[in-house]
Amino acid sequence: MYELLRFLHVLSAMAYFLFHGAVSSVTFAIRREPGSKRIEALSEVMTLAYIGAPIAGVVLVLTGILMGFLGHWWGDRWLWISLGLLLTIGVLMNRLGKAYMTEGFTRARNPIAQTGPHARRGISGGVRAFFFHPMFFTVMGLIGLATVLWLMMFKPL
Amino acid sequence: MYTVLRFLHLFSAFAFFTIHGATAAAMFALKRERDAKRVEGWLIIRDFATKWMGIPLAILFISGIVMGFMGRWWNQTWIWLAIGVFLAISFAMSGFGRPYHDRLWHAIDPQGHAPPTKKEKRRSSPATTEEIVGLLAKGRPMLLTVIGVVGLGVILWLMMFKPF
Repeated sequence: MYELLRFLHVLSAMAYFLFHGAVSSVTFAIRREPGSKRIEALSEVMTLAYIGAPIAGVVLVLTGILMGFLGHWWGDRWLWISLGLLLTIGVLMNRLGKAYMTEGFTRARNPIAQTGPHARRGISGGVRAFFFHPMFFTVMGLIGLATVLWLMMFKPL
Repeated sequence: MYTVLRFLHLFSAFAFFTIHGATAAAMFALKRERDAKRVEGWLIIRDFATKWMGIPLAILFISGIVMGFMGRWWNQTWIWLAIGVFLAISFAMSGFGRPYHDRLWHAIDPQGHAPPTKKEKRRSSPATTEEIVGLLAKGRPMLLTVIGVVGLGVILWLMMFKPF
C-alpha cells in the first residue's frame, strides 16, 4: 500500500510540474511579447495550466498526508519543515506571481503603459526589479523544490 | 553517493517536466488556433521550452546510467525495458511533434525557417489562412499526451517496483 502511494505521489508530482511548467514559460515569455495577439496565446496557456495543476496538486498532497500516517512521520521535524517550506513557496509564488502576471498582461495589452514607469507606489525600483523578475520565481522554485526533495529523501531531522 | 544520484535523478526529472509543460500546453492550444500571429506566439513558447529541456534531460539520463552501474542493475530486465519505453516515447514525440511544429514555422515564416524535410519544397511566401488551418488540424496533442502519460507511468513503475 505504501509503495503504491509513493508511486502515485511521484507521478502526481511529475504531472503537477508538467502543468506548472506552462505557467513558468509564460512568466518569461510575457516580458518579450508586448501588445500583440501573442499575449492572448500566453493568457490561454495559463488557463490550460490552471485546469490540470490543482488536480495533480490535490493527489500529491493527499498521498503525502496518507504516507505521513503510514510511515508514522508526523512526529518528525523534516515533514513539518518541508510542509512549511511548501506553504511559504506557495504563498510567495501566489502573491508575487499573480501581481507580476497581472501587471505583465496589463502592460502588454496597453501600449501606453508599456512606455510608462515601472515603479509602483510603496515599492522602490531596485527591490521591485529583483522580486518582479521571472528568474527570481525560477530560483525560488528550484531551491524550494531541491530542499523539499532533500528533506523527503534523506529525512535528516 | 547513490542517494545523492537518486536525488539528482528525481530533481532533474521534475525540472524536465516543468519545462516540458510549456510545449505540451502549446500543442493543445495550437489545435484551436486560427490566427497566424497567435500560432507564431505558441511556436515561440514551444521553441523557448525545447531549448532548455536538454539540460535536465542530460542530467536525468547520466544519473540514471551511473545508478544502473552502482546498483548493478544492467543485467536486469526492468532497466532495459524502462530505457526501451523511454526511447519509444522520445521517438513518438519527435516523430509526431517536431515535423508538425517545423511545418507550421515554415508555413508562417518561410524565409526564417527551412522546410522540415529535404523532400518538401521551400515556400516563397507565407501560407494562406486556409493552409495554416489545414496544417493545424494535423496536430495530435491527445495522442502524444496518452503516449507520454502511459509511458511515464510504466517507466516509473519499472523503476520503483523493479519487477523483473
